[in-house]
Amino acid sequence: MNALEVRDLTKHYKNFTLDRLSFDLPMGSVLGLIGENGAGKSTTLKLILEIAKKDGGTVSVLGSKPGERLPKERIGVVMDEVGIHGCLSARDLGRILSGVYPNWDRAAYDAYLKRMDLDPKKQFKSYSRGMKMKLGIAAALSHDPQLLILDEATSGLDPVIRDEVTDLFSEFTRDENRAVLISSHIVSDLEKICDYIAFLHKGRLLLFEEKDRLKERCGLLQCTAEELSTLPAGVVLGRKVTPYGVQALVDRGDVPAGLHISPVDLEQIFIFMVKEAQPDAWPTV
Amino acid sequence: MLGLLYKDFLLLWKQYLFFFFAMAFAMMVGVTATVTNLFFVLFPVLYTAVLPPSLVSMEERERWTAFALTMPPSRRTMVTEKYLLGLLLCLIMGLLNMAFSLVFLALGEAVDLAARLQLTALGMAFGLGLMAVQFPLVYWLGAERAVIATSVVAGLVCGGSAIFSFSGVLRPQGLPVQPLLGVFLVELPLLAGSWALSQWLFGRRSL
Repeated sequence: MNALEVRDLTKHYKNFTLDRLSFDLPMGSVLGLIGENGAGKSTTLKLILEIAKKDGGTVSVLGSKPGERLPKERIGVVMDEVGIHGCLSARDLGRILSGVYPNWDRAAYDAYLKRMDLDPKKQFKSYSRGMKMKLGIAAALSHDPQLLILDEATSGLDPVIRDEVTDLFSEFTRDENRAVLISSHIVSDLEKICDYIAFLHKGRLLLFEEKDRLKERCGLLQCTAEELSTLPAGVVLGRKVTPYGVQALVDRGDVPAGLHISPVDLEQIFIFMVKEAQPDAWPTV
Repeated sequence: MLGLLYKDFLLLWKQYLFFFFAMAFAMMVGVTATVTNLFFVLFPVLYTAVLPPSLVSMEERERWTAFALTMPPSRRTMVTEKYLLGLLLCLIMGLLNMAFSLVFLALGEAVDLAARLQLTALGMAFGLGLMAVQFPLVYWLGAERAVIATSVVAGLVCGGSAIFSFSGVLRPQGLPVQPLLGVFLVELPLLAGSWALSQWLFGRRSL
């Protein structure tokens, strides 16, 4: 079963169009939505959650049929800015949410606050960015959601807190009946926890693939411009001219033997895709 | 719904406590026989009606609205909750107004209870009318532009009630019951229409 099925999701703004996005998120997995600022990550999540109104396409969440009410009591959400009033405390928020979520687990919430070292009496406005985000995560996890949707949840956090937070997400997906959709432009965080990667660029989904398969498939080739020109068409996915020659992102399978290809991480793939991509090398999914 | 209502009362308690004390003080002043004008009786009830639409603007500015849209209550429920809050606040302020009148009457002050009741009802009626106009404006214009609209309405409330009261147009003895009932009867469909319009407007909005 898929936790999320998105088909031809479309939204038009004055200067931006999210163009017919389609992807699935299988249960028990983590999908990372990667893209530069303004690529359409937050818009995608808002459309999925019906915070923004879509112009076309369908979204099915946890088995809901398109057009049906979303089962929001089974979805945990952390937005890039946690929208809690500054004068409220973590304790106040717990009381409010216990009246909102039928499946609210007060003991779990208190345990998360303790684990994250959050003072329940302190006002939200006096929290640091990291603490605010941690409170948002605690609130999102305390009604036993099956799907967790996180929008830039690790941005602006220091490395220690980011590590704690990504550990929490990994713990969450140990249960096969759960799934996570996480958007971020901090690719290293996604690399740690994601099973699938979706690359968004200027409102278009350039790539949707299993992370490990993508890393197996792609490699980094350091060579001269002449060597590069001998490669078959379609092998080079992106290229960058450096003082030492040419650095190219290539499809390993089609590269002739004898050329040394080094492994590539997601961040490098991401940069090549956004900045140095060959036209039509990454056909839209 | 209950959680959202609890949140709003908690927020009002934390953010507007001073306002409630000020309104209570105004009611006390209004109820004393030494003050002949009715501004202090009318104003608190009217002004309270401006609070829920202001709260909607504040929620949007502080991104609570987007956060709330990730929760189980539907957009319809969110709008209904705000109207319910407005009705409850109007009722609470009306009852408080009458409670002060009764206390002062018990203390031996010359309080015209019937006139106060009529005036409180008038305040509540106009308060609900204000709400009926303000809510769709806020849901239509959004937080930023609605600030101007709510400020204008608040100014009209203050100014209007002051002018009517100090000019002597409204007198405690001059309010027959039947027109007041009429005001309420007109207001019920107005409020229902406003509620439906707000739901439609908020249902179409992208945040």
